[in-house]
Amino acid sequence: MTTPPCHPFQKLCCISQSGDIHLLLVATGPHILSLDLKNGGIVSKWPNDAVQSAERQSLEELGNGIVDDDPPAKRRKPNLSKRQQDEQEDDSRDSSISVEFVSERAKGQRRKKKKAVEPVLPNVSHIIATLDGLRVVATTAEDKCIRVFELGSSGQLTLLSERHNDRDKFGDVYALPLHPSLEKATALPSKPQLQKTKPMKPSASELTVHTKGNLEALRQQKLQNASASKKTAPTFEHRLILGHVSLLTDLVVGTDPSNDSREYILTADRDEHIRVSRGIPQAHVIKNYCLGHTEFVSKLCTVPDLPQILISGGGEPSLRIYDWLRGTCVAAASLEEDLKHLISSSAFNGLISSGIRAVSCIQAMKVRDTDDLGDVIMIVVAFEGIPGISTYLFHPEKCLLKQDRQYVMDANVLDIVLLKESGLMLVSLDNVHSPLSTKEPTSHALAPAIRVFGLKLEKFDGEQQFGWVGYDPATGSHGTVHNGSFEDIASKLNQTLQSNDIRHEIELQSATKPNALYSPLGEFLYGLENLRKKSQGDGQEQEAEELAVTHPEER
Amino acid sequence: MDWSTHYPAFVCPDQDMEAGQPRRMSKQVEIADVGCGFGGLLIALSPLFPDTLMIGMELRTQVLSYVTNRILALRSQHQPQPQSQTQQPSTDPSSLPSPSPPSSSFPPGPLQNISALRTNTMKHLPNYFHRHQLSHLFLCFPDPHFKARKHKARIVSAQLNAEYAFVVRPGGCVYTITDVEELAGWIVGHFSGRKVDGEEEGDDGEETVGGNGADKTKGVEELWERVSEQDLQSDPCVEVMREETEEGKKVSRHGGRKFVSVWRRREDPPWPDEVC
Repeated sequence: MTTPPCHPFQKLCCISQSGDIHLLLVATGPHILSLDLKNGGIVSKWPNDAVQSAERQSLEELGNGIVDDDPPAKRRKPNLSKRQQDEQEDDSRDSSISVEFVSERAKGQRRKKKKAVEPVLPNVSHIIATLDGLRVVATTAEDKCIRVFELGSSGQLTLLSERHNDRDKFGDVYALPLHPSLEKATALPSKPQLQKTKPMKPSASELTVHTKGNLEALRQQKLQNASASKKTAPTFEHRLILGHVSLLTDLVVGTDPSNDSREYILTADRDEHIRVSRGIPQAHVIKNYCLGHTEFVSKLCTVPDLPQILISGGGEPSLRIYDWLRGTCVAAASLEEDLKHLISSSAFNGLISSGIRAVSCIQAMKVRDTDDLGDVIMIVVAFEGIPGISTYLFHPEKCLLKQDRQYVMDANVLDIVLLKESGLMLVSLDNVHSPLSTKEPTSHALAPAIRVFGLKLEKFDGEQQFGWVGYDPATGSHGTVHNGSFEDIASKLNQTLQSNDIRHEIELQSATKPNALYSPLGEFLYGLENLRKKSQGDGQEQEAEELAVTHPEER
Repeated sequence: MDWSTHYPAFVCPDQDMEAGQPRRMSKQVEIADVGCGFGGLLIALSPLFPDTLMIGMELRTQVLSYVTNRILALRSQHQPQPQSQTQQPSTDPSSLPSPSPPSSSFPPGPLQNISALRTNTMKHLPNYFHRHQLSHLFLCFPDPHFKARKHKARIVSAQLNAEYAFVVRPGGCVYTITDVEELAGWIVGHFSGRKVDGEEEGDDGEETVGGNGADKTKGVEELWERVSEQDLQSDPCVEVMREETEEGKKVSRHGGRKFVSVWRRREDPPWPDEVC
């Protein structure tokens, strides 16, 4: 191998600002790039080299190079979703109307052992933009930092604030003001000191304690020194909005189609539930649950043109479509066979990491079909560690969900964005790992890190239908697509994304255990299979029995 | 969810057996005992509401099989006619005797209205009940989880109280009892939204949903109101909860104290756009 591998683009995010500005944000390792979707050029890169070296230094000073040696995915990954209320005209910068949801994914196990390692910049795990496209929020995985950027009219990223979160919590959703107010941020840290003077009072006497375990807990509580170190609350303003008992996997915001001033928060967890709660400040009022998944719910997706529809994907793998306001499932499909088909047509089989099959990405947009069925939603689905995508068509009026086509890629799909206006689909690929594997380094020549597709109306199965036409960087060829030519932008994007300025070289470490599903990088890029419940639980709490998922309506 | 094996006396008569379809019930469950233990509460409540279905929910497999056997044995003891030769106690609900045709002897025999199932209620409550299905939900002598870092595992929290509000109908109640004073304070704090003496700030789970100090927005506590002492006096459920549960008896024997609080579900608050 001549060139070391580069970090793939783990997250894509498209932004339309007012006017005609379309930008693509790309996260590659610890970097965020903004690209102009008109000319494919890089507008801005964060952190730039100056910032980076300064941060490196401060990291070294701060921690003396000491970090937890947990593998990255063992830590919580902040999960972001956000909305901005319709206050765009009122361009008051410090308006705290904007609320951002931060939900946390976490794995419970934490090891206390620490060792000195080379400080590394934390990887960006999520990027999301406000509705008006003026602010961007990004989170990093290892240090659980939430950063807010201003996005200039030509796409420059300017860091506005950063907040570090070190709470060991999961399953909860917090609201944070988009712009932290300085006064509150400084007022909060004094709190923990006050409480240290509180006398320690055991909460039970021997009279009230019944079990051996409780007795032991009580004994320890008594031993505990009043000065015992306390977990400190985040030093920034935050408000608990709602909580699940189990790990949260995704969060989207829905709007009541008959009353667009009423918003709901839709949250998914690893225990097969999707909860529909009222929006802030009434998120404690649960409207209903969307049930029916039999494995963890990995992904939620709403369609801007059809606000009543929620699409969800899970670890079965399956796709379910809900009328979320009523809590009813209007269509569902098992994707097991489609996934098998995709794997067998990818021509890489033999390498497949067993057990991997969760839906990792869902994108949807309204297209108009030609067979007089009215609106049709095109749903694009990617699976964890699979080099290809599967598309589905959903007819809302008929509640009909059918499989459409499959597109094989030369590397595993990481993220997808659809650009409705221009009829483009961008797919980021994992060109570091071998296709169908989440831990073996690839032996193939480096695949492009991103592939561009254009929506085309063409004959398929004897009918005029929409399909995706891929831009081939080698030949530059494509067909005539629906919205004119995308060749130009595709070739420019490809050129830009392969340039040396944005390469973030990495060293691919091999998996620590021989039977591990992921390499350390793979765990960061994928990691969904960690949500799957292990079949043989350790002892008393047999989760398997709880999987006898029931539905109250079926009484 | 197929309830017919739990309450054979309440299966609708004259149904065609459809493959894969649970049989329709004449009633739905309205009372739930979360962490029912050995079933003392259910057995004592059963004659108080003979026409109301009650379910005990228990996480521990062995405890569940005990309470299931106990209920079946009691049912067959109370069988008016000696037709109990088929009623063998069984641990597996699926092998229960098939529902007998609703007897001409209406109302159903005693203890036909109680049953128990094994589940993790903290996780799966919405899988068993639809919105506003329950009139009574009991949380009797829950695990106190003394360690601060375990407080998230407590059965009362801002997060879970929102789920209880989903399954309990407006006017319905959550009944709580504990012998641990600190936990009693915790429960009151989390249903009322008020900080309670002795509760340490900064602990996990200390926050109330929606409420944070000076913040005026209401959290989950706006869905609950405490039932007055006077109303509790006239509620037979409270007496049963104090005296008939196994834990309640144990605490009495030890001379311990019992802290009761009952919370009535309010109507959902109006949407902000309904207020203006």
